[in-house]
Amino acid sequence: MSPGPPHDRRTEFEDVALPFMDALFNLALNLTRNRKDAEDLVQEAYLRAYRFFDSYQPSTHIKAWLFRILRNTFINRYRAAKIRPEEVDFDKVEMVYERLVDDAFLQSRQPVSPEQAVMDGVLDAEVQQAMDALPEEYRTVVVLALAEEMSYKEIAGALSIPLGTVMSRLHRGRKLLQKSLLEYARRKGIISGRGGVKTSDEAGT
Amino acid sequence: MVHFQADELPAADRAVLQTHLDACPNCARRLEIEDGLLSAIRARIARVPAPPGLETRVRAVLAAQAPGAGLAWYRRPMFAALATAALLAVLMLPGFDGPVDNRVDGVVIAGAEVLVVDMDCDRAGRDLDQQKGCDKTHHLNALKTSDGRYWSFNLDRESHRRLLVDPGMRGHRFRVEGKFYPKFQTLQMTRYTDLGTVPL
Repeated sequence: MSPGPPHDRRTEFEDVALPFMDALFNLALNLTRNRKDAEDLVQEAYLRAYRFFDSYQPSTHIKAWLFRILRNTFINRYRAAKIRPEEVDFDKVEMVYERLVDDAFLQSRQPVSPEQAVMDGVLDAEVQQAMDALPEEYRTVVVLALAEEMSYKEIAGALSIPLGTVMSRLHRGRKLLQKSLLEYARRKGIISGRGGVKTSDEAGT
Repeated sequence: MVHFQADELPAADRAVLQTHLDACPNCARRLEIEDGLLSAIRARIARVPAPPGLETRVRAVLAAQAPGAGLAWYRRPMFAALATAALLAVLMLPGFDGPVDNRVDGVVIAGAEVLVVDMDCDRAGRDLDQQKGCDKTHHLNALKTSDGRYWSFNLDRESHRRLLVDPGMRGHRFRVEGKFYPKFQTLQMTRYTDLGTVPL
């Protein structure tokens, strides 16, 4: 075997790391909310990963390692100017969410599929808006769990946070997301604030 | 409830919650609502692929990087040669009965035999029956070679993902094809054949 000149090292890195570019770009887009910034972020993350290739710990999956570098790069580059973290009154979120579910589904006289209500009434762009509105900490965990279908342990490894923090952020992120989608559905008249679900005709669709 | 849906509860907790759900229509309805919303979100959440030119751009940036100031100790010629020889020796042990094609960007393997284990439990000395019964959902499977080393594997294929999380796969012996990356203790698996539960 050749001694490992820079070209071979680069080839090794590219073979192992570049297959995850779609996943990295998807997370980057969710973090930056902008395609141009997402492309720059992915490029910078790959460059950093390549520079620190020697420090990679084999016990970590390469994909999780790349996610961690990408998120740290994002925090360093894009969040440096932020003075205070985003704050969410989660008690209020829970209260509003519970009321929405109670009004629209639990008190409904007819069997209602919340899945159908959201699928029928909420546009893709509105789902993305709801995602974009999540605080970054929650958004990252939600993307890794729901889009990448990573386990709690994989997410904890990727973000260097405890399992309990993953669980808490995923729980809260999901509640925030679900609340936003139900509010969209209610504003569009797909579900009623008083109970029950309107038909398409009643909703004017 | 979130963790129940994510299948991340320990078996005992899951059984308790399932018993309650079986007897409580309100909670069962609540779970149904949560499941419905989650399914809708999963279906609608964006999965945007990288634009076509990005890979070319990244490759160009990597290629433009100046060679490092010095090679790490394990990249020096003497160590690299010894490491390669050691790796090949391992791969020629019983259990590695396929042809070996050594390339600079990974060691290509066709026909290596590996065992699927719960890496955490296996390291703790638990036997395969105990590993199969392990209810810790955060324990991941790994491939173990006859020299006792563990290898993670690529998750970019859904069929391979099952190998990572399914306790039922523990104890199965596979014949695998792909590339071993010793530095990463990773196998980029392209094919595998399930040989059943015959021990190595």
